[in-house]
Amino acid sequence: MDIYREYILDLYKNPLNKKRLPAADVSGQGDNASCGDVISMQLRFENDIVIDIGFQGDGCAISQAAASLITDEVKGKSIADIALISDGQMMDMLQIPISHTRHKCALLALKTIKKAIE
Amino acid sequence: MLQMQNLHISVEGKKIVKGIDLVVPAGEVHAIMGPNGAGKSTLANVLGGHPKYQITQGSITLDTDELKDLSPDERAKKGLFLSMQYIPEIAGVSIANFLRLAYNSVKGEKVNPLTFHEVLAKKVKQLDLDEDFLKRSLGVGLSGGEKKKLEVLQLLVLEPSFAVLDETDSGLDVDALKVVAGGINQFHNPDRGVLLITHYNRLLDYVEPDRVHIMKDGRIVQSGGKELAKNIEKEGYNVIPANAQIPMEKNS
Repeated sequence: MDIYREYILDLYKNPLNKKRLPAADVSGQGDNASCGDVISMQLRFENDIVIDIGFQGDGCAISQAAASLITDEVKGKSIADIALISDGQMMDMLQIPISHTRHKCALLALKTIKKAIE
Repeated sequence: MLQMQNLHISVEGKKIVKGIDLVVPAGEVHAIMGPNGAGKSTLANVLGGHPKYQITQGSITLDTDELKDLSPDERAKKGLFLSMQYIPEIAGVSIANFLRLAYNSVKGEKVNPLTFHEVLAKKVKQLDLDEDFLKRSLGVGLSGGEKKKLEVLQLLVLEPSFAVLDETDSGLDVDALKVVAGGINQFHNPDRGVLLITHYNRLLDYVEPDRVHIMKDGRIVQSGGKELAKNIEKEGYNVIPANAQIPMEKNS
């Protein structure tokens, strides 16, 4: 198996930042109604910088691995920086080819974070 | 600091190591040299925690921790690293996965596999290896040089506080020897100690030891600076009698 696919499966089985933050400053929820992916996010800030983030979710390996990757990525970033993360950057983070029908899965976590910080 | 005090080791009732006192402070590189059968590899295996050997007397401490009763994985978590002379082969476990899971286990934290892979890929290139090396099965079908480089790669990735390297130089051509020595030098810093076990002083031309110890018949019979290794090169091990009792610096 391609080594990057292996990593995605590993992230699905052993997610990063999969926890509920009790004292979150903001939170958000997102889902893909057509395929059943659900993700909720909580973030804590200090002076506009993300100091902690947690997610809960259910769904396909791509959607859940993307949640692990993006939560790791935004730690230490400002709200303005997060708003600038593009869909393309999210795809690049996954490092595996994502077919058109799975774009929504790959982008759900990023969308949920952006919704939370609005 | 790795310290052995009056260490006696037996295997299947046979005494192999007969009282070793050795202190390797953090930041120093010490070399143990000696003829075949002196007990060097036994000593390395015992430091790593091999269950076949019995410590009949004495102690091994890393900083303040007594290692004697710890399992190999517990020793690794305390910061000890052993590079074996002959590495095991595990088909189906990729080098990339092995290193990542070993890292997670030793450090007690879960790393992002993708960022970890980036770091890994850089270190692999430093050792003159291709990134595809990481996809291969652990130890399986590796050349002699690749096996030794795999050991050094582990050293660079796991960043232990103390490394015991058993014959990490054996069977290497001069280019690979330089790469391996470069890796050891890169690992070595004022907080990390290295104990090199070797037959020849070829590696010592590239990795400069602070002290050289000559081991013969289960004892350290002579200790000195790196010039000692040069003498051995010229005169062989036979000039040193096995029962030579050179006083060790007890207070070092």
